[in-house]
Amino acid sequence: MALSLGLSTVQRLAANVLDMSLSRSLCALTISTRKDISTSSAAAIAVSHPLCAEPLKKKKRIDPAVVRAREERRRRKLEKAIRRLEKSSRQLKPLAEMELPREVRAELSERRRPARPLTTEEANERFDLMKEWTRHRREQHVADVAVLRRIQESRAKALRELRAESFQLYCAAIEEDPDLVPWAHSGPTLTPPIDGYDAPDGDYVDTTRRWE
Amino acid sequence: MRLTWCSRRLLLGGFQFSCRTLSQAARAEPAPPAGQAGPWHLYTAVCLQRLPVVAPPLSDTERRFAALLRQLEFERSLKSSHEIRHEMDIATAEALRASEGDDPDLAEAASLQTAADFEDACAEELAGFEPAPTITEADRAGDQRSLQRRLSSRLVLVVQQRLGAGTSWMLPQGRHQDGATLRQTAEQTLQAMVGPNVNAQFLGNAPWGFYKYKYPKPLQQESGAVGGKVFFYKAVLRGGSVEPVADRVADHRWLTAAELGGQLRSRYRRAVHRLLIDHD
Repeated sequence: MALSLGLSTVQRLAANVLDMSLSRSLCALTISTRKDISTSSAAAIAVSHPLCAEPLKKKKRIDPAVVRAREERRRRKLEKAIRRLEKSSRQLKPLAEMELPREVRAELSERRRPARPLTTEEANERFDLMKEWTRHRREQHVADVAVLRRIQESRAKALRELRAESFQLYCAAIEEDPDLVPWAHSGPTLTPPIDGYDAPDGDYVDTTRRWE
Repeated sequence: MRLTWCSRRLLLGGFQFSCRTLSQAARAEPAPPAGQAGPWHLYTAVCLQRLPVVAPPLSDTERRFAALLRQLEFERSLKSSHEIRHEMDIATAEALRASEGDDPDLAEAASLQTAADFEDACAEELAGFEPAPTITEADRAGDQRSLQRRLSSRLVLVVQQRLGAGTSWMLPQGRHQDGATLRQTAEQTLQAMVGPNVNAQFLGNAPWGFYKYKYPKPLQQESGAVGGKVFFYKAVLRGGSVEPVADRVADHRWLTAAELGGQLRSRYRRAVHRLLIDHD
């Protein structure tokens, strides 16, 4: 470029020496590549920021086997760490509510009840009662299923008849009812509520455990 | 429609009660052939229920099994702090008696409230509370118009409805008019029969039962319809008061499923009974 602009020999020499790819000094001398035409070619030479470091070293070639070995070692280390963490997550954590309190565990021997062995009659009675109970529960279940099936059939019949009578009313009938869900009901209690009952005041102690 | 929680609650041994399956099945089936020739008047009837207030008493098997479970739990348990304290109190009293009142520490320990004293105080406090009786005045009097009767059963409202010249015992029933859905008709019917202050929650938009009846001949000619088709809707009484409207309803009763037989006609009673839960 300097040649094309017809500059002097000295200036041409300077351009060859100051190669943009190599710099062996603290600062790099650059030559602008923009094709301006200027009367003083000194405008094309600029100085960069001080680099304050060693010039970059030449990159050495590493043996690919060594590279692979290093990768392998890194992967095995990570997998081992993952396995260790997973083992910890698989272990069941202790629940404070399910364990005996510390004070009780300390005096466990005093708290045990004397073992009273069952007589044969008592054992047989218990066995018979449990059998009776399973039979009773099964009968209840069968009765419940029969009741629900009967109700379902009654409803299916009602919908069939409605469909035969008026398709428009039928479509309105099978619409969702958004007020039905969620359904809330306070179930039956052991004794009925007392009218105008004034509950006595009591202490309320909040024993919620907090971890902060 | 996602009624999955509802299906789960009513899931008994693989028996699904999902409205989605019902509606899909009903849509998929071809419409059954039309009944008698001639138009039918459509009616909606409301099965208003008061749910049980109190749990039914335990049966003999249930009582004995509950006692067995309590016994097993006691045998497998450790002693509580209250029991330990009681044993220590007994030991202290024994020691005091053995030392004949010489030891001041023992005397002091024995003068504090013992576990037995604490138990007695608690029992006294409990005895001071009087729970409401499960068998009420209305039960003893047999007052079938009262809602306080048979607290462990479901009660269904039955009215003596005025029809033309006479009256008939039935569930509150009203004629369906064009322009409203069946559920809206049911809600309006209930309010017309028992007043606007009743707080009833209707269970869905679909009817739960069906009943068909033919008009007598003169009425058929007069009205131009063969008879009436009644669609039953279920509702649960949430509160408010039932005030029967005099010009529509002569009388009303709250009956259990078993007592309905005495009040309603046989074919109608069968249709109503099919949609009720009756094991209590």
